[in-house]
Amino acid sequence: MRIINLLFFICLSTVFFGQSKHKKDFKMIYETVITYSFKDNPREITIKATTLNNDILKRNYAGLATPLKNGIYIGNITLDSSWKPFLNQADSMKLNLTSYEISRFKIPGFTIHFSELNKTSEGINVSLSNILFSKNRAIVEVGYTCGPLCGEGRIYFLEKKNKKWQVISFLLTWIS
Amino acid sequence: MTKETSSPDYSGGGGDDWGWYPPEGGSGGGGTVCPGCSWGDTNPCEEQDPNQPQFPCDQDWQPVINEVREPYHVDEYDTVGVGNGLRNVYPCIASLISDSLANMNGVAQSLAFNAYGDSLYLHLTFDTSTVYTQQGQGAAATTPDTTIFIDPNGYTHFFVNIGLNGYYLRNASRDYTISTIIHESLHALFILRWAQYQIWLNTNPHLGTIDSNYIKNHYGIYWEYMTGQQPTASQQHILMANQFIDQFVDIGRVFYNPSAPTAIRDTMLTLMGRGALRESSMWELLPSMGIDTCKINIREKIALDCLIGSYNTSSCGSFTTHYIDSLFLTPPCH
Repeated sequence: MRIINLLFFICLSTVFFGQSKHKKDFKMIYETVITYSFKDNPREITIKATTLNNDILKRNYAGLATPLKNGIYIGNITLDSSWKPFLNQADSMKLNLTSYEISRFKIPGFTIHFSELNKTSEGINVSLSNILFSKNRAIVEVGYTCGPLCGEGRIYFLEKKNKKWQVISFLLTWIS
Repeated sequence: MTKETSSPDYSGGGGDDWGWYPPEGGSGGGGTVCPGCSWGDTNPCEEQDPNQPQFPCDQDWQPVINEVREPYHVDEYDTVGVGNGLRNVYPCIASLISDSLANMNGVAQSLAFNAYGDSLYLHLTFDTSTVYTQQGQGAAATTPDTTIFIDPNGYTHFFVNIGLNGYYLRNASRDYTISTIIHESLHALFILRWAQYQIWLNTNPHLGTIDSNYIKNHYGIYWEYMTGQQPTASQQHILMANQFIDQFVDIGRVFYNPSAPTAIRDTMLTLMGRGALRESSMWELLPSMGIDTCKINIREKIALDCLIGSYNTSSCGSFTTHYIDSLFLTPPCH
């Protein structure tokens, strides 16, 4: 019994410390994509946590991605060929967003609130997915609605360069 | 934003100070909606029964379609589908889309086909949204297949699902729903064109006909939106409100209440074409262009909520409306 408890503790610790080891990256990635999404108009937003629609990536990559001379072509955007191994094992590490973590976001120019998933607030409602993550690559989905005919969803592709996360490209998943 | 403190006049007519947009020179840059129509100040469809599905000009008109060849191949044609959710629960809208919207590819052709003679190969499927179901959420969402490609035969493969919010199908005026359908179809067109241009750029020898000249000729001063990363929602809404507003209004006219004065009809259609600008960087510039954003807000609200009575708004003062009598809007179709 003690051995089982010990194993359980080790597993739990691995997950917990595995994620906390990347907490700084995790926060930087979210802050980068929020800033990128609303770069023209910093504003008050309400955030809720969702799950990345990984099917879109899988379907595009497995079925239709086209190899190019110097890269790959996924969903009509071009990525450096070094993304290939990452996309192949994109399920390997997911980081999940919690309400506690959202409440700790601090982005200059933004006022950020947290919302439960099924509630709709006045103003701009932002959905952030979990992150598909490796040491220097990340994929995250951001969606927002701001009115009856206002909103869009994007899957962002990010790379870490000089200790900073940068948006390399994005894929439009829906638009309103 | 202009603040109104008294009840504004929503009766339309010549006194409308932010203007209406007569269809000078036909339907604008994208070709004619229906060959032989002369819009002028007279809606050629005025004689139609408003309770029946509306057709452009007459029921004999058909959009230009590629000659059907044997064996039939779906990629050679533009198609419009209606999902079971829409067909079973909202048969009126389903019928409107499948029977009356001029096959929708006619709409698309009026936007893009005629001037250059290239087909869209646009495959649209309309259904009820499973994500947007309540008031306050989006009225609709367009979800494209994220990979668009051109096959060795030169056919573009592009499938789009357009999900409509059931709440607004039940509660918004029919005109608002039609405006939403046109709005989302325009998104589909922009996404397609952007992707086709990316394919042209990234292939050698080039695939397709959507090249830099095409983009510059069709998208005017906004061509840069189409040549960089995927155009954002905000950029697409600016395109709709400026570069494509004439076509938007032309298409909407066909379905508007035939007894509406032309000024009210065109003003309403124009504001619905501009409503989505609200979150774009252009919204705050509109007053300096002589466009009253309060009027856009209020009239959109009237169309969206089918308002009857007097209302107060925090930023735009009070207004009185009976959406059917004042603006000649049509009750919900569901």
